[in-house]
Amino acid sequence: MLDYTIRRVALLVPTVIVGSVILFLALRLLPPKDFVEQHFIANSPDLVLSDPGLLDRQRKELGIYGPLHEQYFRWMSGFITGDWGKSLVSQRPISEELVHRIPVSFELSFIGLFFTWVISFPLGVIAAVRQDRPADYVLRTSAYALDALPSFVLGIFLLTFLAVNFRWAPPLTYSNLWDDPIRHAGIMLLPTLVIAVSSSGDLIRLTRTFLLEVLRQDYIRTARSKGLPEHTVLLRHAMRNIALPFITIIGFQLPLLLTSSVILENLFSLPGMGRYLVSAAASLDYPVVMTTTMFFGIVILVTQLITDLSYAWLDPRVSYAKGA
Amino acid sequence: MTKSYWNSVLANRISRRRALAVTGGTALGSALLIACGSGGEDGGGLEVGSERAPGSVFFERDNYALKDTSKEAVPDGVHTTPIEDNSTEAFDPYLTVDPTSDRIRDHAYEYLMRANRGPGIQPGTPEYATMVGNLSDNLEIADDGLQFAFHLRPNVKFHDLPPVSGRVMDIEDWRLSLDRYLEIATNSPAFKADVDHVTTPDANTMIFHLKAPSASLLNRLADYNYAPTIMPKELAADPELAKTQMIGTNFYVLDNYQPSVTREWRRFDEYWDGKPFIARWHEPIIPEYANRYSQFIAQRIQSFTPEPREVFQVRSDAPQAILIGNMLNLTSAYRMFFGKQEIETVPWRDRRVRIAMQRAVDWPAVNKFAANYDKFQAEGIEVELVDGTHVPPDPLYHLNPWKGELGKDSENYIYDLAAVKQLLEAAGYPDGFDIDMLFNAGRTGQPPQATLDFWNTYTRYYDQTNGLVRVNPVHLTRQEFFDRVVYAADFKGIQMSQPSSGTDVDYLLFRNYSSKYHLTAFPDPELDRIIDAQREAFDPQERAEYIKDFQRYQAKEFYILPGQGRWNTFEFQWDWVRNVMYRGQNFEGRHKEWLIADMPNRDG
Repeated sequence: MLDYTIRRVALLVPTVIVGSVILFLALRLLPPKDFVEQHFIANSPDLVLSDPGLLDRQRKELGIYGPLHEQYFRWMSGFITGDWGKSLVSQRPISEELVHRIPVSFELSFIGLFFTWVISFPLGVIAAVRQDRPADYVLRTSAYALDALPSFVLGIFLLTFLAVNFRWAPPLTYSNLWDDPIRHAGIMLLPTLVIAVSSSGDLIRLTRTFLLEVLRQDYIRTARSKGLPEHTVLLRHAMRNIALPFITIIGFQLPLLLTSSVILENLFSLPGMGRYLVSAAASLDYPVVMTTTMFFGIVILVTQLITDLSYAWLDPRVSYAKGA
Repeated sequence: MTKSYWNSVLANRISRRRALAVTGGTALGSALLIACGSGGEDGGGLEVGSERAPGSVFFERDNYALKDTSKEAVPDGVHTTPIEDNSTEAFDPYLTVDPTSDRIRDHAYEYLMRANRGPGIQPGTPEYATMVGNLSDNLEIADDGLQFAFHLRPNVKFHDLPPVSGRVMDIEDWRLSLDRYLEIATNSPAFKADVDHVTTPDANTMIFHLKAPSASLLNRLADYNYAPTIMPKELAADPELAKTQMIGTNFYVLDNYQPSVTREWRRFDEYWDGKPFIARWHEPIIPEYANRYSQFIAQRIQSFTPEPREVFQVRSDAPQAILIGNMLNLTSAYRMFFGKQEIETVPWRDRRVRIAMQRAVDWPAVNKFAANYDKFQAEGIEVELVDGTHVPPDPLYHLNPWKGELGKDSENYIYDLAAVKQLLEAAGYPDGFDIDMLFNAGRTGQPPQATLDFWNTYTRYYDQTNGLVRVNPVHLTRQEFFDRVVYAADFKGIQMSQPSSGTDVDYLLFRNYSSKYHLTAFPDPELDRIIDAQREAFDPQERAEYIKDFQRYQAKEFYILPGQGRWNTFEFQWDWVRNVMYRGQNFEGRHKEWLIADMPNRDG
């Protein structure tokens, strides 16, 4: 297990480096590529004309100077040492901004994930237990429909439906849970509901599939033949054995939810990382885009690492050992 | 209606200097007087003394007719309006280059002068066009027009924030602000083209020494794209602090700012023009249209601007909201200018080819479509609509070719396919010609569908010329567009219909037509002479005559094609705010607004 853990952690390092290089090049080489030109030529061409050295001075001041590899190392070393630099647009330290925004994005994702499970797990179980009966058909059809429904469409629908019919909209200003729990709940309610509903289709179907597979196993048949009540068979014998695939699903779902927060935070005006990222991308604020994307990437990689390690811990057959 | 508002200046001479009552801008709001173009006549304005009422349609140009209700004002409350744009730049007023940031800057910082607004000050009148004292309590202009003297308003305090802590403004604040503005400000080059240097001869006076008389300078003393604002010397001396802290004299004090989330302002109780009624102004940044819409319907925000074609849907969802017809912009005109590449050999070097391009498009029909004119009219709402010519639609000088006001050359503006054929044959292009048309397709290069629809509306007319005018659309990213078109005019072809900037017509004329600027593809000494003459003419009628000469000249030459016209845009507002008639060009006057007592969510 220790050997496996070390190997997986070691694999993380080159993945992060390759990812950071791709990210850096993508942002700096794809047009439009120059923040300074974009801002000054677009908004103040007279100034550029009257001062030929202006653009270079601005690049220097903002740290966008020198060969690309130098710029990359400057940024990467800053990222590793915790000096994430300043936003080119607002001139504020990126770390100060992220400190406030990370909890919002994580809360949205975790609560969304929690509600996804609350909705989809029992429905998946019902669909499996009632296989090929009307409840199963309804749930499977609904699950496919939810799969086809993008979260932002559902979000827009809910916003407009509630406003037009009930004159209700989420609070405008975000409050922390401990400052104003009611306002906090009001602003988080719709986005987490949207996450839960739009993500549950997959889970309903997967829960059903996993459970049906377990219910066909010999040990389930044995338990039933011993005369155990059906709920005991389900709870004691079947459920426990679908835990492993569920961990995999969690490992994949959390990153998905984090990235979908980019859309939902913008839709619902939540002050999270996703909103910061979109705003920065629109104004070519490279340091913010690179740092936020790297942060997202590392969270996803770490989540997958934890998933893999949990998997190995729960199932000792999983290993990178030779011949395994 | 369009009589000389400059008379008030000329009538108020004080010894060798002219008096304060210097008339400024080109009557931003005199739209109601126009009723020109092929579009609407009077836009259904209300009578003097009328009030905005829930569910009514109200044109912003009629704000002047509202009564001053200050004596009934209920103090405090939170005024909440959404911001759509996500980007907010640094707070240094001299380093902001994004127009959005400029508007943020104007919350906290003030100009020396401001436009005159208030009850009874009707758009199109001399009073409306007058620039009045702001941080300078008056202005004198030397007889030769080469010196503008500003006098310090006494007892103006800066915001009660460290390190300035509510100190009274003095001449050193002015001097250091101007030094820094002239040295680094992104909006200073145009100012420096007019002003040679600035002096402060005594503890109360600052003088702008001009290179040549400039009538346009008057109109631009509160133009965010041109004029200096005043910051305290403590900030002028500490650029790093100025980037992150706003300490001005205006009645907004920045209280909370979170990038891409919200800006919140509290009132400045010691504002020099009186303590504001409203306690706070919240500006949540809501980029998503559906969210803004739902917040408006739920009455959490005061205003909402719908897509033009959704106005009537919103009206049915919010029948008690006031539908506001915004003021027409009378200082800017749309234009389609030609690039300089290969200008000696391209077909459009010949004016007949350029006129053929103009006559190939039925612009009045395009404008009506874009303004959703027929739908509004069917609903009983007269949209103000002015078709595009070579100048902004200011009634002081605007000549309307669709009314024959440019004489025989008026026909050069008017849609006529037979004329297109004749013109091209006469120019030696009987089989027509090809031309690239460059479009600004936004940051990504992929324009929104609504933008594409509008482009298609007018480019489709070229397709209907039986192959005579073969337009090849070239979609550029915003960056490419500004590099090749706006910045350098270094392209072969013509640019899409784009509006000009500025709060005075000179900005359009000088930058787009004068050979002293770098953009024009058709340098012309006679045109330069007319542009210079209007620039130096302080008498408004004299200046108007030069601008009319300019139009007559352009009606023959068409160095630039006019493009689309101007029409009202609409927004919805809940009937919560009073004293809106004080609103000026920037944020001045809004300290006199107040919120009704029974509005929803009054405390935020």
